[in-house]
Amino acid sequence: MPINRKEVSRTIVIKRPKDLSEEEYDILKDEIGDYVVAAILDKLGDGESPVEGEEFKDLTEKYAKREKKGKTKPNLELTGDMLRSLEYVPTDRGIKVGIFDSSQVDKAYGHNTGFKGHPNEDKLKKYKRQFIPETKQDFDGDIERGIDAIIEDFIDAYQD
Amino acid sequence: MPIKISKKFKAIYWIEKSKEAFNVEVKKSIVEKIKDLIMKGISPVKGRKFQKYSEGYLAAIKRNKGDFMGKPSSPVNLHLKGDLLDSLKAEGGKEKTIIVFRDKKAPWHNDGMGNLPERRILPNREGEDWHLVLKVYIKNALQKALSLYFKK
Repeated sequence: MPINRKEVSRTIVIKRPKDLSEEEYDILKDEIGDYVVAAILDKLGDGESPVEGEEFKDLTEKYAKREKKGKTKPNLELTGDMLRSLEYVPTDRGIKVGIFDSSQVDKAYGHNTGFKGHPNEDKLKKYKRQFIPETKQDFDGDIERGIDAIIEDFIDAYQD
Repeated sequence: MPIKISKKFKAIYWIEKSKEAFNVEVKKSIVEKIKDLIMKGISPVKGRKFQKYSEGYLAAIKRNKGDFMGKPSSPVNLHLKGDLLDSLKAEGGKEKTIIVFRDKKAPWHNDGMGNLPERRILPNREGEDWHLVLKVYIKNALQKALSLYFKK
């Protein structure tokens, strides 16, 4: 579940429900992946972190005036390229959600870690805006509940 | 057994009440949630993403004049004057809810037209469905409606 300079991602283990075929299990992974990506964007659009217990600091007025037409609510969208590259990939036991595009990983790493390793880390760390959970963290409760609801509905549908 | 009969009627009554409450809740909130998703650049259609703005359109946003004043270059949110999103309505009676865009630009975006790329805002093609984010939201609304009557 790495947050490093090569990828910023979180693995979500999805236990294969019994009675589901391999093909159905793959569909379930896609459903959850599609959901989690949109749920992260949904939270970010509200200026909230999708990571449990994390909060986003407002943009400085100076920055907001220069780059965001005065809006101080942070949504991690400037050109849109980083969040556009947010995606999921299926794995053997679930999915991995995050930023894998090498042209966007540095930005994502900086936001998620508070610019760890940056020459101006001390000044920049207050602008940490984490949107991918570390190994010991969870997604926000709404997202976790959403994942559970999808699994529940999926099993119901395939048992009918 | 009169007691049994009365219980049965009571259950049916509360199920009907819940259905009504669900419909009211859905009508009230689903439109707002669809608008909210689109404003955040999320297509309400499962598996779909909004294509980036063209360079020409981005340049107009950057000039920040007229209708473009205050419009962000990202996310892509189909919002300029607000006519399109304001035209989104939930219609229908007690039994079903129909989600409809009344603005003429809706099909232009939904199906793509001229220079406008396709940006799906309604799942009205065969095989399409609402995005799961919306379905989870609707499920929560249903649970909320049911809990009004069954947790008492």
